[in-house]
Amino acid sequence: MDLTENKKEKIISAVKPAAFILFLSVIQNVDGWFPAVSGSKPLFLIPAVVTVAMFRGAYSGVLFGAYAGLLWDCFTTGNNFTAAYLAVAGFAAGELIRLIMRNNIATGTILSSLAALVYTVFRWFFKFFLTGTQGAFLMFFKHNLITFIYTVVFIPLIFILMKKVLSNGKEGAYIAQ
Amino acid sequence: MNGFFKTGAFKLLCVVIAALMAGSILAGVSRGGYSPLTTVTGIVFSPAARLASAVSRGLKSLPISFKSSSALQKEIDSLNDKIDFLNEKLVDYEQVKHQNELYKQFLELKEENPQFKFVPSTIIGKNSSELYSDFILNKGTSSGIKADMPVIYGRYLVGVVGNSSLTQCTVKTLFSSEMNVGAYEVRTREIGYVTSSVEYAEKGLCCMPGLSSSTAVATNGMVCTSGIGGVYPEGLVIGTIADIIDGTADVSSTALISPGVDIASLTDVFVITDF
Repeated sequence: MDLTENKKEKIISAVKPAAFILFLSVIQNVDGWFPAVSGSKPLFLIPAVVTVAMFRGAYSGVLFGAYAGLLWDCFTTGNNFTAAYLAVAGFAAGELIRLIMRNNIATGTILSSLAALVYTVFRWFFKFFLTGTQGAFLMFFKHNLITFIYTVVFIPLIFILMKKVLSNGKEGAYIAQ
Repeated sequence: MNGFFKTGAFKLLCVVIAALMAGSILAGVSRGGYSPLTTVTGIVFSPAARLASAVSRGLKSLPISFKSSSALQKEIDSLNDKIDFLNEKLVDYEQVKHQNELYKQFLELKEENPQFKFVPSTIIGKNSSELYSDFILNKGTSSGIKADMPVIYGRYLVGVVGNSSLTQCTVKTLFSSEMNVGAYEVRTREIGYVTSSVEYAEKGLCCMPGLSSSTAVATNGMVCTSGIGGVYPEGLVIGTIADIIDGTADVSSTALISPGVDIASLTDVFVITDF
């Protein structure tokens, strides 16, 4: 049952980003691990999934998106909508990089910001606007928008850290598809 | 374009989305439940969340001080050590005192209502995309916790269980606009319901709308659950009336209620599983 060097490397290359995503899920959702600004915390999992998709392709983007989303769903209402959204975001980021975009920190920031903005607006729209919650617009400006801005601030850092995690210590060892 | 839909990644996305949506439908059918996939994820990773929560609490209680290396600093350091030691004792004392108070109130409630069944639970997380509602408890259906069970702290109502998986559950607090609690004001016995909105929640308040414009309800009055509707037992304290405001659209008045407990600072609560 000895694992070949190649298999070991493949397992490690999957476990490392998975562990990092678990860590990000903890600091995003568990109290006391990261400071909140007027009750808002950055959504670290979105740039993490987008970065994985950018470096490992759409296939990994879907799988890691679903995994990160399921971890996130454990702290929300328990349905799978966040998992579905992150799987789609992972797929889209992977395909955009494969087809039309360059893979660098600037495109990473743009794609992650876009994914975070869509998530923030959709969540607000379905949870507060469509349900006719009183003060829905106040909620958007005082919480959702701050969450989005707070997330954008940390996107480059998450991109760099995830890139390091994915690189396995070797430059150019990202794409495994 | 045709080739795009034939890629392995697209096929995988379809399979993943189908599986997730099937889970969502199952969660929707079993009202108040988590999807099976989220339940499995919760079971596998809840030890990590509990560990992180425990570490966070441990770090919060640590008295941290920065010390200089100069000679004179030694004396200050030694005094600081003593202060740290005493602070640590004080933190322990405050925690014990706090817990004692909680258990005292809880005991009174239990003695008054021997038919109540409780499950003690710890808050392990908060939904980062929810500002005023939803926190996560470390107990779920395996401890008998199901959707719509009241969550209390001492004699005070905190919220209600929203969804429950095997090992954890989501709680909607009094600040959630989805809350509708049958309630009455103790002095006047005027009945109504307690809910909240974003504006009120931001100020740390919930409200009791629909009171008549000539209501005898006044500030500092106590509001308790009425038991109407059967979700909450009668007599749990919701809070005290902070203000009465007149409606803008009709002649009714709204009582603004300050919850009896600081929900944001809670770490432990009880879930009433039967009453």
